[in-house]
Amino acid sequence: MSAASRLTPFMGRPDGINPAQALAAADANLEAYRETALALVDKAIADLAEGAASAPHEEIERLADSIAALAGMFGEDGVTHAAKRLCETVRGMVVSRAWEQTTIDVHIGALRLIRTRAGTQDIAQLLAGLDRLAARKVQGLG
Amino acid sequence: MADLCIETDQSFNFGEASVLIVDENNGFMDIATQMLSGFGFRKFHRCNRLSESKTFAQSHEADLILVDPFPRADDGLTLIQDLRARQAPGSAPRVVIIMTGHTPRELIQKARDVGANYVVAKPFSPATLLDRILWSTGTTKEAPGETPVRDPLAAAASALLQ
Repeated sequence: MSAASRLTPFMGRPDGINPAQALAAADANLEAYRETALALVDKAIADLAEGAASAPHEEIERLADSIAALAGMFGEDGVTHAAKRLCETVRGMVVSRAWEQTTIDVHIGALRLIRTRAGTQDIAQLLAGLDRLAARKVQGLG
Repeated sequence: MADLCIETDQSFNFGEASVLIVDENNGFMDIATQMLSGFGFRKFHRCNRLSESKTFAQSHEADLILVDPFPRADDGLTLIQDLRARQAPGSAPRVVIIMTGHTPRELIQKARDVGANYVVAKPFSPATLLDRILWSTGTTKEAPGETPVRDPLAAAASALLQ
């Protein structure tokens, strides 16, 4: 009978580690990468701010996707939220063929603001506004 | 780890297992590498282009494959389909995990159709990734009172609901 997967033979091997050890090591590795990851987030936001007016929508979406994935790994929920809304907004505008640069700029401005640590209540209001904007764009209303 | 199936008495040594990571986001490839290094994986091949990963996969074996198919989802899924098609009959299957920030149901369905083991939504925790890896080995017992997730689509949906 064959193994369930190609990883099965590595179970129970000598000099192994257990899940708690694996997770502790992974968490430590991730923490060591935090500053690098957040620097990449800031770089991507800066790239958006600098080039979004002339960049193809694929590039805006790629940068927003990258921001959401990286920031989300390190508890930057507001940034992740805003970046995901930017992705949805871009896709909605592409589908409806109604590009609106101002809306893109609002999202990029929000990303910059959140990274500069505005007050929590301000961020919540900002994100609620982006949700409404994204919903309109996805539905082709705005 | 309340919602996961990780068993604390398991042990593993993935030092000789090979990993292929495919993601256009170099930063996220770094993150995946950091997580997997913590789990004991040491042999990595990383591709930030799907075309590069297809070339690699034609001449190398990987035991674990992590793929973000964004932004060319169909190409990414084709890579998985090709890998599954080349699997020798009766041999143990590679473990294929799709990691993506975009989780429409259509993608999950297609991922199941081409033979992905799991879909995990970015961002995800190390515990989620380790849980999927250990589950794929078939050595994880079902936790008392929990419903086993064996259907790939159900597993994907479960992963997305983490």
